[in-house]
Amino acid sequence: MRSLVRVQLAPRFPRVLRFLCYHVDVTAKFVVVFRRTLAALLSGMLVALAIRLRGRGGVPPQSGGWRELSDDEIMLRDDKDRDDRDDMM
Amino acid sequence: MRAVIFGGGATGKRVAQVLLSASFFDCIKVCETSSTRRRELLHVFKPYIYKSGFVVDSSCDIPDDTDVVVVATPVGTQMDIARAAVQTGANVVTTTSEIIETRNLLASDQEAQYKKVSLIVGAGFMPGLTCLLARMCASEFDIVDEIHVAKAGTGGPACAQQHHRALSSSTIDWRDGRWTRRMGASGRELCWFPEPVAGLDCYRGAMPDALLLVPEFPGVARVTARVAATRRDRFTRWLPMMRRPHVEGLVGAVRVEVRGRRDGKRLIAVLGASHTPAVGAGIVAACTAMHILKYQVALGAQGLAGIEGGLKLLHAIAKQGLRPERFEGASTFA
Repeated sequence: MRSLVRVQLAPRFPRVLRFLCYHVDVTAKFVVVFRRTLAALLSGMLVALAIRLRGRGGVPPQSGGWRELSDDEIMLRDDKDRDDRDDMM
Repeated sequence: MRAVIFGGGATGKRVAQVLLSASFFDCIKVCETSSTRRRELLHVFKPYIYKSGFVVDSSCDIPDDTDVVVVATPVGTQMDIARAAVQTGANVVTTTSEIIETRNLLASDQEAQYKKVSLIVGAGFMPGLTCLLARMCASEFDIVDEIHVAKAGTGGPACAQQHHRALSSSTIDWRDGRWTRRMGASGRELCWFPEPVAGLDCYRGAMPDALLLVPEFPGVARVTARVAATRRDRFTRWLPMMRRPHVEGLVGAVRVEVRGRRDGKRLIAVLGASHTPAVGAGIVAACTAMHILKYQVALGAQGLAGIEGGLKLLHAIAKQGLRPERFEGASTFA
């Protein structure tokens, strides 16, 4: 009931809402439904936000994998790198 | 040989651990201002206190006979320590991951050369290990066109704060021969990291990798750095950290993708490594400290991408348990 009074008497309401208040039958039931709709929308938005923040998108690679490099592979590259630098100089 | 480690946090502790286990130095001093951390360090390294010359101190003075200083303090505090160390004539290894600090440290090149010392900039997990992996990848190409690095996970609390800042700050990329500023947390890309991290969405982050990589790879067209972040990280990036960061993060990973040409063919090489970021950064910094004393690397300020004997350093890092991995897929090297 308090909400109904607020809707009908609030002086700061925009013109459109004031028009609605005078010409549409704003009953207590209407206000209750309106509030419930707002609450449902708000809770839906919060759930959607939580799901989006928790989600992880993306497509994993379809082929390939990781393989550890052996000591020999690293040192082999070291030799090649040194040769390349010597060539550049 | 004498080493001084600044910072006894998650990374500094690991640096001390690696240096003590290597038995390379006669005396190792850890400078830590927090009394809680000092007590913790003394407790952890109790067996080494008498036999290895291990000292934990609150004073930040650097003895004159110091051979190397490892700076593992939070970003933003490393420049002053590095400059003081250079003034005393000690080689310096820094672990910074902040753009302005990296630029300032690189600008100290002449000062370091004048003092005849090496100043290694960004010897951590990223930058640091990523620079070495980029060097290794590049050795497989005739021409390197693009380098893209990415990181997942954070080390200690200071690292987590830096990760948060990196997403909210503007980033610096190298694109077609010039520096480009981009908004942090933009440019989503699914990056596949070594197991157990696997696939994560990565976004542009204010990381200094491009500053360290571009000078070492003349002719490279694009260099970018990304950090893994969840939607929650992106959503809250403009806010202060909503909760206190973890004491230490979980397993993280780095990934380096190099695109280039060999024998006229365009190819892609992808290397990575996974470990707890604080441990990874500690291993890289400690191995670098030993490397610069063993191999007499070039004087002045530089990153790890151009360090003399970089792949020997990578080999030493691998021996410490931070082993590089190669992604073998359809368009990569077999």
